[in-house]
Amino acid sequence: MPEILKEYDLRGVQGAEIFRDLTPGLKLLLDDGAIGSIVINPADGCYIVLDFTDSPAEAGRSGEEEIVYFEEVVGVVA
Amino acid sequence: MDLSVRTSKGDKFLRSFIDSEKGTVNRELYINQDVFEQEMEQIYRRCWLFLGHESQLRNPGDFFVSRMGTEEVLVVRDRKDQKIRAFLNSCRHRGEKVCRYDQGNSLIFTCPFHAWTYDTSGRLVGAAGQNSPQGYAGDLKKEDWGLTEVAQFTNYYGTLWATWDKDAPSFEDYLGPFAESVRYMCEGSDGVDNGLEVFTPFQKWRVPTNWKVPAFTSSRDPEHGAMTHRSVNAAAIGPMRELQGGDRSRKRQLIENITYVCGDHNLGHGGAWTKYLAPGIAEYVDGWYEDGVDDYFREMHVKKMEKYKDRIVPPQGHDAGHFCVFPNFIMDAWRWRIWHPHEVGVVERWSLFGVDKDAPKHVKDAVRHYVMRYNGPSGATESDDMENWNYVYPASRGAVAREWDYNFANGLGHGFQEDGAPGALVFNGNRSEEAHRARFSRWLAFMEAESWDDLYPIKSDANHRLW
Repeated sequence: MPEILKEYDLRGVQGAEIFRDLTPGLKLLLDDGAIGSIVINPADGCYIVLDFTDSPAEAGRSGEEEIVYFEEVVGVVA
Repeated sequence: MDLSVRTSKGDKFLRSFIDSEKGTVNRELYINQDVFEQEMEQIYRRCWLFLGHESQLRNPGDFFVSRMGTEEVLVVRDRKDQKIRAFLNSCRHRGEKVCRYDQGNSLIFTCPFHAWTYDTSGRLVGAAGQNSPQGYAGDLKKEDWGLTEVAQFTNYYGTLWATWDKDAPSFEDYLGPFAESVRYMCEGSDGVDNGLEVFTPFQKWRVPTNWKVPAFTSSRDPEHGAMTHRSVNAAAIGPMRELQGGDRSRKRQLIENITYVCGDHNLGHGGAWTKYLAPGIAEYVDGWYEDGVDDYFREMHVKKMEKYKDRIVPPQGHDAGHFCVFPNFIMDAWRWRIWHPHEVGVVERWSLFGVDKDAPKHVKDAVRHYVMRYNGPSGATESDDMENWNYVYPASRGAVAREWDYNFANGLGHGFQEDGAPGALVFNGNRSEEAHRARFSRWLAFMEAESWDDLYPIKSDANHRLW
């Protein structure tokens, strides 16, 4: 389990703002264990585009870009 | 098919409201809810409709929201293939608007209701619960739930048009003899095709009247000018001073011509029609108040003169245009007016103004200032017209008023067709209401037609002329 960075607390009202402002290059951990780096953040506080680097539940996902819903994001990882 | 209309005095056949012998149209057609709803189905779902201009979508992800009848459409340039597409602005999940801004640039369009999200090609790319074991659990077939795309779309020299009907004819066939005039009006002042951009954001405002009041009869309505716009004309505030504000006709008279009012009864388009009898373009005439603007246009004009030195310009040339592309788009040189119906008694007017896309800033500023003072919602001519449009509707819809007919008989019986002229293009005197009558010929054809198979030009031998 990768370490979740505490400075990016995505919970609550402030979490929505932090999610909105996440910058490309940061890595996110999803609730199914997949990890991807941010390609584009449309800054709508809702979706984010990830380039998957690791996806234990779905091997074919690695290397793919996908739009991810905020509810699926567990946190920012190192 | 014979179409009936529900009225306060029972059902009546639609045809009974138009008297082609007397040249009259009953007011019921302008105030009746049943008629309005049938218009949306029979006309606005079938016709080619103007959406906007490509200069609004320069970059990948650029979008604007337009209208097709009472419905909003999202027009967007895709980030990947950079094509422009148009979609119904309605989420496939629960129908909420997926875009609530007039224009902008976006990566995706997210419905604020349940987060269904579409990319710039209209493809569904995300939805709340899409991967949740308690939700769709990955079973949502996104490829089946993209935004609803128009059936046909075209970019005609920079102007964007669409229809919901896959069986509609090509846009050029839809325009018929007016195609070259539309193309001409999209030229830059140097005569180069697709030479314009439009000022954004558009000027938009709503007028409490039926859409047909301005859309069908403000182009061309020669008899209203002298009365309604008398003060504007006297003040000579047009862009060409005396030439435009006062003696408007002088500029176009520099090339020998005959000016008609015309209407194509098979297509519904029509308005002014100046037939030029000699090739070429007249010398430039100065008229701008602002420094350096005439210098620019004079230089462009030389290039245009070269292009047309051996050619006769199309009928709307030399700023002599002013015609309606059926049902709701009026093109008047670089002033374009669209009438979007909202309700039976509410229409939304959009004013688009074109300017040379490569013009220097001081020229664009001068043109923009002109169109604002002359044609905007607070401009001199528009406020004149709105007085009339506003009061026509309430003064026509009362229990007594609605029984009476409007008179469209100006010039009735004096129209003529030229040998070899296409379709049902009818010419008439320069002060006649031939164009208005042509609109109603086409209107009734659409209202009664089961499909495009009954309509010109798909039905090539059709004759929709009513009067």
